[in-house]
Amino acid sequence: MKKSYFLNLLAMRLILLTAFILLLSVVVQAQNVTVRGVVTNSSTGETLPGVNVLQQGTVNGTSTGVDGAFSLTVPQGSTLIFSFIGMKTQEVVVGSSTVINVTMEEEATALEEVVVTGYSTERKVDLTGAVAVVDVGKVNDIPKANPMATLQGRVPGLFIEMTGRPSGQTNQVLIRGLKTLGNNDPLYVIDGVPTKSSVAFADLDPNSIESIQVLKDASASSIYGARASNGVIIVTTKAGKGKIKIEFNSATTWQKRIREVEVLNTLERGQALWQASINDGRDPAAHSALYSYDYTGTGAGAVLNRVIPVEWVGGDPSYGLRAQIPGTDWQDAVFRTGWIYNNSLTISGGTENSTALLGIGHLKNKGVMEYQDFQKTTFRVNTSHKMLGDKLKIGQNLNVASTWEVPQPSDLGGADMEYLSRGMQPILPVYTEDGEWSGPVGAGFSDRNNPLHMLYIHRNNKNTAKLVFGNIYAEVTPIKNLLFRSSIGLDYTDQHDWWVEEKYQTGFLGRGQNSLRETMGNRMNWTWSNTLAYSLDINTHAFNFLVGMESIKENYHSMIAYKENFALNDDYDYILNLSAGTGLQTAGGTGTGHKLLSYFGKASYVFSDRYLASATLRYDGSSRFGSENQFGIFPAITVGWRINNEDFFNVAIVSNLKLRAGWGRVGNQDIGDVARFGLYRPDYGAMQGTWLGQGTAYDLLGINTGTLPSGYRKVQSANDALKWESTSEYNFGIDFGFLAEKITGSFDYFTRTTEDILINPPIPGAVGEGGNKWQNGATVKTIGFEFVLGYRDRIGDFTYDIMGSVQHFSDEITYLPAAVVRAYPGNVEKTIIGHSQRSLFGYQTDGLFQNQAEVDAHAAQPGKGVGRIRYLDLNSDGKIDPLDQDWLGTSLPKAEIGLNLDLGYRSWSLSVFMQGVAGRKNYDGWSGFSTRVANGMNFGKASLDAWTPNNTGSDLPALSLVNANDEGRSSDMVITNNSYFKVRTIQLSYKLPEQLTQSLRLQGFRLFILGENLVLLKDNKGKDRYWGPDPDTGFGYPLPIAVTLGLNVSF
Amino acid sequence: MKHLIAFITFFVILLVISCTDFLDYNPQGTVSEGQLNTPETVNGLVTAAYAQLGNDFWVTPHSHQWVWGSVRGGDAFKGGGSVADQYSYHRYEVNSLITVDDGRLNENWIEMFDGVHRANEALRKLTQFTTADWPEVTIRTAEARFIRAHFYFVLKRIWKMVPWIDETTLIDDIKMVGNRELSNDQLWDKIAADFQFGVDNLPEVQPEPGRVNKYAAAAYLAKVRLYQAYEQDENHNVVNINATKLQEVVDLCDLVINSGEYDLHDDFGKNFVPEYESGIESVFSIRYSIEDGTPNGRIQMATSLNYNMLGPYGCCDFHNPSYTTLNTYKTDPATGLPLFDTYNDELLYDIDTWAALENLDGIDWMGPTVDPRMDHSIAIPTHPFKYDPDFLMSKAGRRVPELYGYLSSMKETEHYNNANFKKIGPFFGTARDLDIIRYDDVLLMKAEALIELGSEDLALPLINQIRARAANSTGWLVQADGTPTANYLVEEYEDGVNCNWSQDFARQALQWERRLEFAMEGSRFHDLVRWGIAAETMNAYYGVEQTRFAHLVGAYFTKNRNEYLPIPQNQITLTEGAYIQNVGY
Repeated sequence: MKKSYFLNLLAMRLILLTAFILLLSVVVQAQNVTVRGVVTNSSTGETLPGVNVLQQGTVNGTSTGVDGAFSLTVPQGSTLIFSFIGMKTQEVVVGSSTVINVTMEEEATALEEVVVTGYSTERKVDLTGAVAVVDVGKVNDIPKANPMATLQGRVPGLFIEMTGRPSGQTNQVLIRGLKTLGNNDPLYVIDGVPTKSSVAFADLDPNSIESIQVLKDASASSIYGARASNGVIIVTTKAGKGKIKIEFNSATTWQKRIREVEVLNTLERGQALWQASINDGRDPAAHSALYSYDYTGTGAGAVLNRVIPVEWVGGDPSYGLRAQIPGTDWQDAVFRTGWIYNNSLTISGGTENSTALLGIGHLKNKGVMEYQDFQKTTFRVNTSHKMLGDKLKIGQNLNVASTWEVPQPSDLGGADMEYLSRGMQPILPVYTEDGEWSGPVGAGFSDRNNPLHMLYIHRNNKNTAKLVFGNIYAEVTPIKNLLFRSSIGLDYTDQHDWWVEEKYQTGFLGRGQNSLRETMGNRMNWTWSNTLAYSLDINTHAFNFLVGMESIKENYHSMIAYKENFALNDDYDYILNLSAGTGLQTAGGTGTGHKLLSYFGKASYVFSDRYLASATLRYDGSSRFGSENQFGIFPAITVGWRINNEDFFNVAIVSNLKLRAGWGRVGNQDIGDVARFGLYRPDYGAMQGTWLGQGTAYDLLGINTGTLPSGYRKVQSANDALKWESTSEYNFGIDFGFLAEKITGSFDYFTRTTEDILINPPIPGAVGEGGNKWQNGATVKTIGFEFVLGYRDRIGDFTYDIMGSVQHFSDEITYLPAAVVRAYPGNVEKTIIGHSQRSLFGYQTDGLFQNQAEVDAHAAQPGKGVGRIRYLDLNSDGKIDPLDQDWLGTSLPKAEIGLNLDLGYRSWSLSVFMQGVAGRKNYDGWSGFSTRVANGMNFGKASLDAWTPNNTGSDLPALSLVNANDEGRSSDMVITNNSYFKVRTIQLSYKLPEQLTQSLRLQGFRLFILGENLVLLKDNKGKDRYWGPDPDTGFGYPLPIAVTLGLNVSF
Repeated sequence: MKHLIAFITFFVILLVISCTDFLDYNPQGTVSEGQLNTPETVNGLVTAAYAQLGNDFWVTPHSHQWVWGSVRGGDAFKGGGSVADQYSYHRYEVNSLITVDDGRLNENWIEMFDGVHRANEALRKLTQFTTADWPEVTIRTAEARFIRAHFYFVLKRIWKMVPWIDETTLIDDIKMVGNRELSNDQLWDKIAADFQFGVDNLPEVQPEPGRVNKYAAAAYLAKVRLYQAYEQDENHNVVNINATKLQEVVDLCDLVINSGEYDLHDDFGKNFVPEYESGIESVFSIRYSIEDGTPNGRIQMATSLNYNMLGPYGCCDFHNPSYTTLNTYKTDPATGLPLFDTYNDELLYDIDTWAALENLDGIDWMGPTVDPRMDHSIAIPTHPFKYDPDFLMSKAGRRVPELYGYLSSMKETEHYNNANFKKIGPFFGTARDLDIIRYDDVLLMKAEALIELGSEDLALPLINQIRARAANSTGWLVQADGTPTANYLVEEYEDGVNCNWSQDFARQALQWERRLEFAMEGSRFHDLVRWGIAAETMNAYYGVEQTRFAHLVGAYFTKNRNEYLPIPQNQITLTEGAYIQNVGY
């Protein structure tokens, strides 16, 4: 019912749009005239050959000859468009005169662009640090709940790993790779308000974003000091300007999960079980609860004639579970076609003295998994007012966002739905014969629930969040070039979650009591920033100075309440009220906070547009550190040389050439608010759903119930010497442009050392709980580079722009206190030192044992046998043990590449964006899924191809019920190459010609169709062909393929 | 210029408002060490030490010894959904796969030492008080030492050589304390000294019955001395049995027996239902509670995997009795005594045919004679589960019979109707107290000491007292129609009548009796190691049982190695080599 409603809505929209376009195509005929003219360069006075001259909205056009002259026949009153690379495009309306001479001005190129950096703005040409400027226009159309999702692969140096969750949640966001052993999240600065909360960024409406800059190296980010070590993402939201403009954007997306891999059907699973029993030398008939077999022979001579499944699951028809042949397709049951509806409306405008922008956005994502929905609503108000004759400007930016999500449930035993959609046995129906939910019953099943049932009974659970983020600021300019700015920023989030568990019994799995857990938490972060900036130009010397202070106060508080026994099990509105419960109730809560106090300054100097230098210094104090080291100093210095502005450098084809070098130091304080304290805590009893291991209450009275005596346990040891983790980084870069910026690019190389890394090392068990202590200990070195190269040009009406990037980073742990080494992969002889913290460690394999002679000849390997995996005896000591393990790769890629192609032809444009990672490996849960019999669960179709005495060519080990050889152990058998290359987006858009939009009093009208994740290339050689899931998201919630139809209209 | 100066002044003032206390911050919801200086708060540390007794979960079981004593000793298979399910426990089960870097072993070491730590935290603070400030301070000290000794006993039975940490060890020095600073015997003496302090200082009856008393300390001390009496060499061979220690065992057991505070329940089954928890037979138990203000109750979760798949349960069916264990309950139909030599030759009830049977009516339950303790310990298909004739164990209650057979554990589980039963997600807990030392154990410890002292005749009535109670424990073992579930027959030993009660025979009878009485309770493996017969017993067991179950193929017990588990490699590394690895690893 609901689905068809949305389909109808979509169809209706399509019909209306088509009708609209047809209407607009009816163009009034006018009288034709032939116009002539010469085009010249305004600065040199020379004629310009090769300038495109086009009648607007048509294919009618020409280009100027060697003398700069043109001639074209057009209707009177039409508009001519003159365009030329490096020059500003001009429009001329054909009036009474048939001679139109045009002088074109050189374009203020992208080089003149002003970008926001720390507490100030800089011309892009003057940048000396590693700063990436995101092309926001390219990603605005992509309907994603989290704008971060649209940046993947588009910003060199920014590495993003996605999940497919409807909320657009990211797995990780890394700027230039891993820097530290703990929290690697960047700092966000939105309209000047810094926050470590990624939600503040995720909750932005992409349409409200004016610009995004990524400060990648320490010299650029150092002005943010103590929180900048993972890089800084600076966002500026839009302001109103000019006459009132109303923009409306709407998009509808169809999305579908890509089918990952085939699993066994009912009879095939029986066959695999039979083979496993035969391989183990057991009698399959006597040892299977769901199947019996018609077979002859044993061992290699065994021949299976027929698999006979039970008729009724559980053996008893009263359960109503008829065995399914060929079997339930649980992946089909759990996944659906998803839809995203995205709409936003922005009203903006401004006068000399006042500007305002109002925006409202709404996104609803019906995810590809049943019942998994997400909604986000945003309100944006940005205003500014000038007074006192421009000496005072007061303004504010505000984003209010509300999100609502159905959290993905897990089953009774904690298994996720993704896993169950593959692993549920096909013999089990989704529903009983009576239409009730099914569940495993009787022997032969694992303790896993029907996933669709789980999704259904948790469909009304919700996680809601509210965000209020913004600032109020005043800017005072008492004298020319002096600017005092004071801003009070607010970053408030409020989380409120409801989690209901229903009472049910399906098969042998059930929950005897229904319950509601309500969790509320709020975080309030105040930032007060004051800066004083002064700029001074003396002849060819340009100086900029900035000093400032900032104080930050953050508090977090949460409450959790739980109640059982609600009389109406299936009335959700009833259960959502805690007071309706009559059973056991518990309550809990936490509170924490921290403060920061900072002073900073910056000086920059430009000489003659050739020599650039700047220095910054920040002095940060944090409540998180001990009295001995509460303040830290973070300096940085950069220099730049714009070679193309030198007199001696006179190479015509080089339009831009700049060398940059910088050094800086930044800090990291992400250790939690109370890491420095020695703490004891009462722990009366754990909350629902957590393990019990740490309680301090005991039934001393021996009465089994009632309030218990309780005490205190030690939870942490004090460290007053705790101090900043600091990162120092060198960055060397070159920016270049050739052929009047047709070719542009940059290359950055960096080397970085993070020292005194904050760690909480494991302690000997004998020290006991609470003996752990936060310390400054480890060192990590990272090197890497980013290379960007673009080419853009125009051939007649056809424009193209190709931009490619490659980034590489590699981290290496160079020092770890001895006590911490064991917390990382490695063995007694080989430690992680010298390797990436994401290194994979395990055994190397050497195929499968083909016969008993090979087995006997091999080193002592417990569980070895014919058809089993042969592990290499690396240290040749005649036995396979942990010392035979070695390094097998890293789970971070060696390189990430991005390739963007924009093509334009008159009103049409096509853009293709491709992205991939190379040199990455990871644990492949799928190989185990395919090759090891999961008792009570289903497994992959590849298992039918496993080794048997009659199928010795297989590279999958023989099936076994007992896994005596421990083949799930970390080894190159289960670690797979998960590099990939994807065509992430293909977008075709059509913009109505201006004369049409004008006649309709529209400012712009554009339609587009966008496809996402349409092509995936990955390694399909050898055992890697069994790698099932999208290597992009691994075993998590899959990224769907998606097609979006969208509309932008402004008037 | 005036404006400029004004603004710079204003700005400088702003910078100066740095108020030195802006960065002050105090953690919420916590207590600092300095605040732990009153009897009330230090009493809280003692309570927290008690709490650690039952804080374990199925990943780190230390209250119930089902992994360490039962699965390792061949009482039971690991069970669960597959061999890979809790794979570490599979390693311990087959012995041959045990590795020094097994992660679960490390977690258990840590969790058990947390118990030692909590007791020491309390003891460090207790020393600041005199009986004048706090009349109970000596009793609380004795309780904390009891708890410390309990955790050391648990640790020592698993690892043998462990570092001794007490309240006098400076915290910064703990990681330098080696595991061989004390000899095996000295370690036992340290544990014994803590219990002795309890015997000397604890009251006979505590006003709060959850606290340990003098007799609990005496019984536990007897247990320590009994283990200590079997003196081991460096390679874990039992080289001498110390008569002085044995005499101490006898004396301590007599102290408990003669106190008049304890007795055997009339029915063995009363030890395994909540209605009689911490009752007359219980000498030291870990207390659990429910409806106590915590979300789930402070309940027993160490065994929470060990429920079968019958309707109200549904997870996870670990701790499945071996068929060898089932067979031990056979009795000689003529004498009512165990079939010491032939018990495992063939399967009781021909279990292998169960798989093929649609129902189990074809089995003659009234055929072979068995000890009733079988149906108190093992859930057998068609037999009532937890004494409920309307709630029969069935084939459907098995999870993967093709791997682990048709038997399920019962003693530690709770009937789903009982108020002490709690379902937590897929797991199950019970608020029933867990006996660590029962009166039947006291009787059998005394009997064992007497036999080794050459007074086997004095041991005979003690063993017979146990058997007589077993013989009478059939009242709850009935089907819905009131008929017995199986053909029960147990007789007492009568010297010269049905046996020749020599020392060797008495030893065999004692060992058998412990096996029957404490099956699935986590005692078996520790008993085998104490008696010095672990290797031969386990390998004989593997030899038979692996013909029945594929998961035991390749299982092997290496003598002079597998008696103890390896010190976790992680702990050796973290202490920078302070610990010396156990022999053989």
